[in-house]
Amino acid sequence: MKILEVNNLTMRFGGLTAVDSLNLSIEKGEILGLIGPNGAGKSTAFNCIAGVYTPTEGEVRFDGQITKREKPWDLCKRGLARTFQIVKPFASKSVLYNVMVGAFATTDKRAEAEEKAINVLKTLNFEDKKDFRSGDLTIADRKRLEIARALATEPSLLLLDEVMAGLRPGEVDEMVEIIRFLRDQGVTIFVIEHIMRAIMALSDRIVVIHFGKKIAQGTPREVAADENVIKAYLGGEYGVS
Amino acid sequence: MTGKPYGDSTNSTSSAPEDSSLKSPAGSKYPASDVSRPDSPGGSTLQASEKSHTHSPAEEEVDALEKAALKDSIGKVCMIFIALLAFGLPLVIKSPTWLHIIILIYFYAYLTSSWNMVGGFAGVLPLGHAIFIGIGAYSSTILFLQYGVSPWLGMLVGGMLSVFVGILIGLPTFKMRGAYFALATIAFAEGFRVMVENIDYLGPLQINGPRGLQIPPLDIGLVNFMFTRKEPYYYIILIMLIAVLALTWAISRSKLGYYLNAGGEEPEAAMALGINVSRAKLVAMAMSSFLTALAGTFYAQFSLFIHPRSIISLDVSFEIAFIALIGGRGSIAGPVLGALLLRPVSDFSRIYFGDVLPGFHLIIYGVVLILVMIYQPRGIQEPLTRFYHIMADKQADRMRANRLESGVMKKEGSQ
Ligand SMILES: Nc1ncnc2c1ncn2[C@@H]1O[C@H](COP(=O)(O)OP(=O)(O)OP(=O)(O)O)[C@@H](O)[C@H]1O
Ligand SMILES: [Mg+2]
Repeated sequence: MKILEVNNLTMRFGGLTAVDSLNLSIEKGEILGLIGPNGAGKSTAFNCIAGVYTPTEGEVRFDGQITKREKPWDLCKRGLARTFQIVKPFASKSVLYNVMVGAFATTDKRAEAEEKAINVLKTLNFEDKKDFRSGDLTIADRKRLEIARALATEPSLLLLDEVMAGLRPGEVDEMVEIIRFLRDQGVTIFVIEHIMRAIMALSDRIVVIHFGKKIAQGTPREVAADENVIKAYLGGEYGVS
Repeated sequence: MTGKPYGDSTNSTSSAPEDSSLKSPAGSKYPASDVSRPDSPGGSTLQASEKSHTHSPAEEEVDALEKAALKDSIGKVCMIFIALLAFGLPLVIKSPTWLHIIILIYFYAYLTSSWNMVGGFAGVLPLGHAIFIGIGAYSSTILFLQYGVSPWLGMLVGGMLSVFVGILIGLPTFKMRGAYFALATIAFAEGFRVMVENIDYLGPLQINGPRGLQIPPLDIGLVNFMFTRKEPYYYIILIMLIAVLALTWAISRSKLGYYLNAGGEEPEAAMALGINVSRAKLVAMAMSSFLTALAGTFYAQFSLFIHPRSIISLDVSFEIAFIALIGGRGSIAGPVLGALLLRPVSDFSRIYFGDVLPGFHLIIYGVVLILVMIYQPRGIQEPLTRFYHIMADKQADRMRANRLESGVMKKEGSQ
């Protein structure tokens, strides 16, 4: 069963078409990768799916229901959670506080929210830092906090926007493990990533976009061999970052 | 609370004994002082090795819990002590002038705490809260003078009206950021003042324009919220203050409090986590407006004379913000500490410089604000809370040591 369907999605900012007639879908339990050069429109696509932007054209169907006019918080309540490429911790608050904010999406009781938050922190091996001020965390831990907060809302679909950017190789491996583990827990994952090694190892399927348009899709192996993809990444002014 | 230090922060290289007691949060399983640190000099290593030879990790956990419980009761004792002090104060201080000054301290602490629900937790800076004081004062006074309604009832009517106005103001303005929001709230408050100043009659209601309204002190008593002595006012505002502090405390620990803080700090992230940020802010605004209006009625009954310039003035709106920023925005103790510090400054500068330099207190506020923002950006509540935690930790350790010692002696005695 498809948990997410994106049909003919187009997003324009003034004269710039950031996402251009994008079609894709995700099966429940799948890990789908979204890659493309800088400025290809990946984050914009996420923002349309998560309800931050109202698409100029096209529709998004989450869990069988069209998401038109649904706000980010409505979608979150329906089970769609996301992280931000530029992390946005509630910096003056502790890690636990941050995660509890997420946990309150499914409960009104403080004690319950705290218990849920602690459980999430335990699954992410993050519990030892629960009293840290989140503004003081390292980049790797801030990315982990983004995931922890999103997970605390108990999502069925999790959008991850470059959660591995800026991490050291060891940390990347750990993050890959975490994402696999989440999938095994039944969370469907849609992931944007620049680190090829990670996205190839992680994804069941990959969609590649360039200038907002889909240029290829398939298994990691197929995509890596695709001529258009190689051109998009190596041709002209775009390099792999 | 905002002032509480979180577990080991990044600067874990410093390991003075005071430092380690500071870093252990009440709820943490392993207080920093119980973790042995090879790099730490003398004292704390000794302490750690002492511990490790008598205590297993499980016992350490029990120890920490015990200490947290002790600290909790120390906190309660302190609170009861302060409350007793506050309730007993009029027995010692008989001078009406002094009582008057203290009543105004509580009054401003109350106003600022009410303001804090929006200005502190929701992370915006309203600078027109005097509009709600005005609505409260005028509602109850008009109802009392023209219809003989008890000010206690009028107080609630004013509160309801304020909620309505507060939501009307919040709906368009909460989408604005920073200075724009602040300016919009000033505009609403000033607009309201000018309107009141220029209206003598609003339908059947006598507003009396710039001359204001006087409440003749005829039927003195609790029903009419009028007293000849200061003491009753003192106790009324004290109880109001305690109530608003309790409410603030409850909110800060509730879902609403988390949502307000999150929405204030990172609105986009908050929305992605299921928070309708504007709605949370509106709820806070409604509560804040309601509570502020109650203070308006209190002020009307306390001074028995209201006029637009004194009660809907920007001065008052700004003073609230000053107290909040200097005391510590978004904290529970901040408004009280801020009022305790700034109100006397204002009163004395008015007494000594009032004729020569009216408004001098605002300049002093400005200077204090600059100093506080440079050295304690989270307000004077922060160093004070930290100091309290250090003292409470020490006291808890001392009490626990005493308890252990007497326990050991008992054991030895029984053998
Ligand atoms: N809010 C906005 N207003 C105007 N233009 C925007 C906006 N957001 C994104 N864009 C533009 O849309 C294009 C796509 O940006 P987007 O952030 O989606 O790219 P991306 O694929 O996520 O890139 P990166 O890999 O660098 O994160 C860019 O040219 C960007 O400048
Ligand atoms: Mg991006």
